[in-house]
Amino acid sequence: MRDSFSNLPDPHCGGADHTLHRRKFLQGVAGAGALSLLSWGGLFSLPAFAEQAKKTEKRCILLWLCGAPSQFETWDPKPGRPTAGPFGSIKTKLPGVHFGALMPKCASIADKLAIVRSMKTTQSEHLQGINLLNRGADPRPPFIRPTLGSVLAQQLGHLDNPIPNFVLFDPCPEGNEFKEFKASNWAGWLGAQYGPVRVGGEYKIENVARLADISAEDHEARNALRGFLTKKFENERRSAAAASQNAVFERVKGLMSCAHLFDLEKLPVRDRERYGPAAFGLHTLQARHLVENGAPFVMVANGMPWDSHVFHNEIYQLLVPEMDRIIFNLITDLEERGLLDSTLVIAMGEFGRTPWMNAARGRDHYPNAWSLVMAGCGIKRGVVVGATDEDGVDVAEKPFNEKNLFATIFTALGIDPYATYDLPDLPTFHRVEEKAEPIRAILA
Amino acid sequence: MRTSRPASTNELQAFVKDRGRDKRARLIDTLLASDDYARHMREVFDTVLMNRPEPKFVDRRESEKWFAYLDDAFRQNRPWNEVVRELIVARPQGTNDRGAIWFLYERENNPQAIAESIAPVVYGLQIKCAQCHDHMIAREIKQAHYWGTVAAFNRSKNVDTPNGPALTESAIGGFVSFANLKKESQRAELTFFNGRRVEERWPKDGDKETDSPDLYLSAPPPKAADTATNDPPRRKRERPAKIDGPAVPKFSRRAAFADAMTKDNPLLARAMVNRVWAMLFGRGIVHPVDMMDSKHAPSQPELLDWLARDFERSGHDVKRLVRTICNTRAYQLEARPVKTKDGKPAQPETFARALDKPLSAEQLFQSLLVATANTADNDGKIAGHSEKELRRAFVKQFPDLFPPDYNATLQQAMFFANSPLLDELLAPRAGNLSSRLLALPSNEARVREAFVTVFGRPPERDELRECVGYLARRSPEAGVRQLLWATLTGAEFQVNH
Repeated sequence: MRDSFSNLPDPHCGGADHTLHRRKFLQGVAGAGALSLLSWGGLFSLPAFAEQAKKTEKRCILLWLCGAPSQFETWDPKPGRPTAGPFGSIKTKLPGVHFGALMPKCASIADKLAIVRSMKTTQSEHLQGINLLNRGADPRPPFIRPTLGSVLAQQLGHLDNPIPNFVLFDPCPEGNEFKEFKASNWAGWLGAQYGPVRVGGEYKIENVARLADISAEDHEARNALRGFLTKKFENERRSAAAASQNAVFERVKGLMSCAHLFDLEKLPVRDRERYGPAAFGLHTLQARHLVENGAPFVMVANGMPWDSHVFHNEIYQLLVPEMDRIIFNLITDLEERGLLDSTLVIAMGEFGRTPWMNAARGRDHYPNAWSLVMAGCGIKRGVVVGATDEDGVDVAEKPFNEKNLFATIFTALGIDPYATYDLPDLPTFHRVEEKAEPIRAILA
Repeated sequence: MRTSRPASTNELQAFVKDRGRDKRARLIDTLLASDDYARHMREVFDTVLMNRPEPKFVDRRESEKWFAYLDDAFRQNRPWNEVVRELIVARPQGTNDRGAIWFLYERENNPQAIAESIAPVVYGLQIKCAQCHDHMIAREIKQAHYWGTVAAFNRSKNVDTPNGPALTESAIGGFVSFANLKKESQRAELTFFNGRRVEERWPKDGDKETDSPDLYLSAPPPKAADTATNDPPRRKRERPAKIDGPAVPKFSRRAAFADAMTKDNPLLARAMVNRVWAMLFGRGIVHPVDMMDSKHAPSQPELLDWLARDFERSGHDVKRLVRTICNTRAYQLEARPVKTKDGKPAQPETFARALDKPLSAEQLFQSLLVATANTADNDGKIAGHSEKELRRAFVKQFPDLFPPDYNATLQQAMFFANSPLLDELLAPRAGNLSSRLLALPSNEARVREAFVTVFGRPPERDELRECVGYLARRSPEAGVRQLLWATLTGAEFQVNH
């Protein structure tokens, strides 16, 4: 039984195999003729086609190392220098390139990674730094620039994708500077439909099963009736709160169809052991599983453990090997599955840490010269770009800022970095301002 | 004004029929005198002062009379500065104000947590950022203010007495130092953000203070060695000592801090005015609401000044403040979008239209109960659940009270879509809305009644057509339940406007 008002586009959300970007499909893969012959669900039940579609869709995983990791113990060691710290360095698969000695696994796959050692930004406080590195530009109130995840959700995803276009895993919903960022408006001027679906602490999503006293058809029709009534309200009042609510209600059906993808228990024990036991690893595993099944953007936030103002060495002795293992597993798993060429992996924080230790044996905030790593889609394999001076105090060659970084990410994913946002009533904004150059040396 | 629930149909009809010019002012006065006002204020200020409780504290807030204390304070319209003083001093004089100690007690001997939660009330500020260094953005917030506020509470300790929980206070100790990021050490003196300072004689290095009954007004300290250390404050999770009554020192840091905060402290009034304005408008004159620092200028500075002065002169009269704001033209504006002279949409900080105010967990929960007319049965259960269970479920999904930016979450939508709780409120039960609608003779009558009850207005023509069509294609019960679901989960019900 169909309702007169529910002549909304019918997404045929068959489940996890429905992963193709419909708009791109229309543009490139097939003509209108094919559409009239095949239903969408039917199309994706062809295994070969679904498999092919999965592999060419671009997607991105951001390992958000919140709190800001030190470059010295990771990607830019300074062996023998006073700033080095106690851990030393090790050779990598790339001749002449060393990583911190706590990172043997990543060293063994350095030929798949691209290291940027010359990040130079300006914000030295967490909230401001997190905003800068998630939005790619300094704030210009009252306008709110969307975060990277929201831009990628819009560009790589599509609104009738049953899997959320932007998933945020966050182990620690309370208690740090990241909290304030999290409470802010992630999607900015793109609108609430591009905000993240937040999954925090728990390893599954609640209330995913339909109650027995309502049929699937009625469940959907009821939501459509809700939409009809409340859209009027949203439009007449230009209500941002209503828009935000309506955006999430529109995703209910999709999420119900793919909730199993969020259930950690359903993943192989061996995988959970390789990535676990802590939340950062398990969430990274879930991120891998989601992108395998068509999620365009997943952000894995990592509490704020990297903010080592006291007992830096003791903390990093635990943290760095965990990260080493997690990045190694993620990159090698994606490659084994044939997904590395279409998946961009980024691991970074909001700045780096000081070359010197403070009196509490910690390293403080340091945006002046820091490192990050990328791999996968659109990125050259086995390359180091930029350098710091011998003590890591300043960038010695090729400084890059957040705009260069965002231009690189967009270019790597095939997105025009300089496109103008279409925003009536607002000043002109571009995806990346000032035509900042991408980091060409790491682009494939 | 929406206190904690929508108007019932009868109340609404009475308001519409009333032809008196001052009917709105009279309605506001009626609401201010109602139980709903006290309950709403209690719910708001419970969250403002205490945050959302850990599960173990929900019941204790009730049993230790914290809720009763807040409820009474707002019902009796007690001067706000007196209430704040009682929260800080925490030495109840009778049974009515016994709950006041819970503000400190629940923080379990953690003076930093106490300082961080009193700062928004007495300074209008979040001070957490100044723990390790002077605030990097709002430079006037010094690390010394953070630790000065902490020191006001670091001689206090939870104890259990025959009259219930209490806070004892030592006359000595608590002389701590803090270090900035450069490891430069500084004494945590009683220096506060509002410029006030309380002089204290510091013991010379190496001198051991001696505690003595002479230093107390009542009851000697439990054990001198406990508090007379120079250790940095740290969280003590030990069980509170059982003693006959709390020690009250002749010089009490808590009382000194309370004096500095509740007498001639203009920030106290400004913080409260901004808070109440934000509660009523969905946005503070300073936004975010508890960041009243040099980097967050008020959007209407004269207005904030005027209201704060009026609030102070009136003796910190909260009802007067609420009434004044509710009677403004700004508060009575409609929610329809307006444009500025140059044709651009008016920005929220202009308050040129009523802003969206998504309902808080408590408002939503109460509103759903009132709208669906579900009441407690003989066992005290509402649709099979205790009120506490229902409340907890909503608070879990809607924890935010004054979010700087509103973001609905997918988890909230999933809750409405599939949680049995809402579903059970919609199941027909004697006397509830569903059964009332089912008793009506036609689908059209059902739709009209549903709209008037849920939205407080009749359906428009297209709405009537769609909804009647929807009901026609389903069994009466399924149709009614789904129609109500579609209205109750919509923004028109869930956003105060």
